[in-house]
Amino acid sequence: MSLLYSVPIPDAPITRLRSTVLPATDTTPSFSMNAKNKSFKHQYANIYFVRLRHLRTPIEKEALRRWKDVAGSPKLVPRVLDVLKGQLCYIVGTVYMEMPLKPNVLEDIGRDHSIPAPPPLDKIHSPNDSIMLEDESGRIQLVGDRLKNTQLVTGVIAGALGVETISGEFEVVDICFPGMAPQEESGDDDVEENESVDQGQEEYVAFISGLDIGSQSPSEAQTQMLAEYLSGEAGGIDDQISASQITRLMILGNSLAPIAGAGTEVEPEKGKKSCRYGYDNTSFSPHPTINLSAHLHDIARSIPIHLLPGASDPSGTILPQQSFPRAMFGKASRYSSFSCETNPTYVRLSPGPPDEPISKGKGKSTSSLKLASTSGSAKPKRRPRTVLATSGQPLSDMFKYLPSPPATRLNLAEATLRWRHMAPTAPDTLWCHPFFHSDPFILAQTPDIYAIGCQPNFSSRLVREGKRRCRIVLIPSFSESGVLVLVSLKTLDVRLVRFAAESRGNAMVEV
Amino acid sequence: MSSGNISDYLTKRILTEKNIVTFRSLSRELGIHVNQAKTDLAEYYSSNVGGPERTHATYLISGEPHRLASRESNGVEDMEVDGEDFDGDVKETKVMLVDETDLEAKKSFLRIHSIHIYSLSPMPLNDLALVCYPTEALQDAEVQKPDLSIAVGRVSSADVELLAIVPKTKALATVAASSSISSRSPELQKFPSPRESPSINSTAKPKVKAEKTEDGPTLSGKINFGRAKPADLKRTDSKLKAIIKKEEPAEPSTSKATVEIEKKATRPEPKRGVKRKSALNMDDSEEEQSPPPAPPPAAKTSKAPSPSESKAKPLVRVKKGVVLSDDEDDGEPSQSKRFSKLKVSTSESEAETALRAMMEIDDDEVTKVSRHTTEPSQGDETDKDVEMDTAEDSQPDPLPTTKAKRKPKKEVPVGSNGLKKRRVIKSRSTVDAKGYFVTEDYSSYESVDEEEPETPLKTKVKNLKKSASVKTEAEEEPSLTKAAAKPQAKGAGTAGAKLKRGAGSKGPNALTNYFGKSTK
Repeated sequence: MSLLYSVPIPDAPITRLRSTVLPATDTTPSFSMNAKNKSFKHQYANIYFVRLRHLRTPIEKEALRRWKDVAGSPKLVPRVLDVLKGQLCYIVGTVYMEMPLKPNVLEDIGRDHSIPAPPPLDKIHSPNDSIMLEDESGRIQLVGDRLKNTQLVTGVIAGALGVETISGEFEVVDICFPGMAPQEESGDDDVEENESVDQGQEEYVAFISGLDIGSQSPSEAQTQMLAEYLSGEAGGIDDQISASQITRLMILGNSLAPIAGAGTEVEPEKGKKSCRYGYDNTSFSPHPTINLSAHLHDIARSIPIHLLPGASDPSGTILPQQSFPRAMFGKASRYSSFSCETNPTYVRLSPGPPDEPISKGKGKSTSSLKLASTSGSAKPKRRPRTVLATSGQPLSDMFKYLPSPPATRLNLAEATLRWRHMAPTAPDTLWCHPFFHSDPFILAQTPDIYAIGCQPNFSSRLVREGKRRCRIVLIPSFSESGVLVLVSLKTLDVRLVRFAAESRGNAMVEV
Repeated sequence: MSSGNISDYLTKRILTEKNIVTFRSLSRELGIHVNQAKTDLAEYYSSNVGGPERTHATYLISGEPHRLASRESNGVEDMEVDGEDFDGDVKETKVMLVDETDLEAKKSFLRIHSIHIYSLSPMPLNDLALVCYPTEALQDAEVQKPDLSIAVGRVSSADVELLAIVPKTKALATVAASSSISSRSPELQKFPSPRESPSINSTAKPKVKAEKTEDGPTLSGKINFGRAKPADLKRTDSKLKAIIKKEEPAEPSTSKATVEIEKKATRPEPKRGVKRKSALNMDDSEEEQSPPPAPPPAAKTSKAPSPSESKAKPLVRVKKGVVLSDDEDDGEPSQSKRFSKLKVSTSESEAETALRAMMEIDDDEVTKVSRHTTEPSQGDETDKDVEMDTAEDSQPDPLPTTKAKRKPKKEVPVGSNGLKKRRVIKSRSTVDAKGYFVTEDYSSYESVDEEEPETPLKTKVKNLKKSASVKTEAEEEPSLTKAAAKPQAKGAGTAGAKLKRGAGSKGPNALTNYFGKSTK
């Protein structure tokens, strides 16, 4: 191989484009637990109550708009138990799915513990499921063909138009949801698009999930390539320039592989070992964390990082998962631009650097920056983008409720926007904190970028409703696919960077 | 850097040392731009390709892959539920690492942005994960030379800042800032804490030990030598000491302390209480591990005196609690006393033999030690158990210095992450030389959030009061809170005790506080 692969050196050092984190607003609440809401004393019923109360109004509005011209002029019946037989009306309530296969605590208690528990099911849906609508007064069972082509999961707030049948069921004619929540300053979309054409620069946000460090099939090489790419060192100048447009990296969960033995396949092996040694010290190696922090340190030196915990990470199981303690990550934690986030988290980003005079304290500067942008000062700022990032547990949980051929994860993700709720199954099959005063999973505002980590495959869609636009991105596990997803802050366009290490010989190892 | 140099360097690294050299490690080693490094690797590779000692290259290809290859599932997304699914055109870049033999993989690209040599290795790489090997070293290199990362072409963001800017860690700010400047600073950062910790730790630890000896018997109820031998040994130790004290009030105890020191210095001496060995060993090792490494000898002489004295004083208190008091209102000490008696009777043989051995040794040793061991070292290294006895005797002289020294103790050490540290009691179990499981409490530092520091203080105050009541001479110290300022020997002693107690009993106390709060 006599070819000489030389790489030119850029004339001037490439600088990275910037984006600024803006402080949270009321509509993009923080998910961190503090002394105020840390209590576990409350019942979960409050969450349903709060959810219904919040979403009832938009649904009633939407229902009125939608059904006011329907023949028979249906009326809203405020309590589901007040529905009169044979009268066309509509009701608003919380969907509850009665599912025989749903995990049940009582069954778990009654189970014979001498037998190992059956593995959790991939799908809990079955033909015997029944759908009910529930409010403070009671429940009514929903029937009808309309339901067959509607994807519903427990906890969704919906309005249903129909008639109560003789048997006491509610024959549904139509269903409505609150629709996408309003978006921040959504009026100037066209302006933005024009602007983006003018300037050559596009700020990107990068998403990955599932680094799975410490897993059986190591993806070390890819992870290192990722770090080199992000730091703008790998590839030619083109690559380096496109890497410099990435303003920050969000890691959506599963950075560490589950501890060996947690998986069902590894179980027997572990059993054998424990017989022999009494304890299995291989399961408790601190090595993955050290490895992860080394990679993070490498990356953090060139790019701000937001790190979310995920299902397999050493973090709490209940949502919202709280941020990792920074100290876990050694040297990486010394960077203020390395931030540990809660699992669902909102990040409001403004493209470009923070305003000059106040660039010292981020919190302060950004609020005034916001003011400047709204007041329309000399240099028009593009409006900030709201990123809603999760590590995918809500979506994966909802996905169990639905038969898969019709349902796709992407559709489901889109549905959550229209339901205005990112985790409707939360207190039921998805563990969450017993919130008392609020349901933080309600989407009071449609995010611009809705990034969902730990999904089996990459998919993406730009959802529009009126002037609202939201880019949904499902991010696959990096260790399996090697995919880094870039979303433009300007145009919400998506790009993929796929890392692969092809080992010698014929075997293509896309670990 | 001339090309000759580079080729020499590469020959050395790859062919002689059999290392893998990636473009990154090369650029870090020589301080050249990564792109230059890639070119250099290519030059070196092509110049060597025909030679007898050829190197093997791994290439990095980046470009646009063929559509079909990358998204065959796109068309059938509705069938395959989890297939990739996206609207519009998603630009995809593929970055691929291939071995030189697989370079035809570039055919799978529609358009290639760049190909360059990623690494050179003496052998073909069977596992591409091996290219990660040189990375660790270069991490450090970059930390040491902050300018380096710019020189090598790392694209950094102006948003990337060191923690110093974060307002939350104001205490740390300066430290963190300095850490960014030089790699040495981490050590500097740590330095204060090592110094502090010995002093604080040393006071705390004796207490812990003392409590343990008190609690141990009550917990286990019966003394079971077969089962809990190491722990028992420790107990006998304290008992032993108590006995010693009774028999020879002043002399042996001091001597013992010094003996102990001596022992440390000349560890391997077989003569000294075989019995105690296991327990002592544990203690020693613990002492060496849990506080940060002991300051160098030079520092010791200057620094150590204060810790030693401060340590000594608190001990007095404990000792009084355990041994002297007949009219304690607190149940704990009397109990322990009872137990010690009980124990003596049961474990007579062991205790007494040990005791006898002790005493004999002590007398010999005392003179020797006092002659040439300096005070400072005593403070630093004396075993805690011993100190209980020592305390009374050493009390007089240490006093003046202690007061001066206590001030620094109050400073809250700051960890490398910018958070304040708090001492916590933890327990750990180890297997001792005889194969028994020994569980012991030790204190170490844990960083706390800035909001929290109040609670420890509170408990300290509480403890302070408690210790006052416990004290035999409590009558004269109602104004104990001021004790720190008091010039009197006893006052200082109590203050030390309070401090120590606060530290020692933090675990249980914190618990009771917790429950108390909840009931409120």
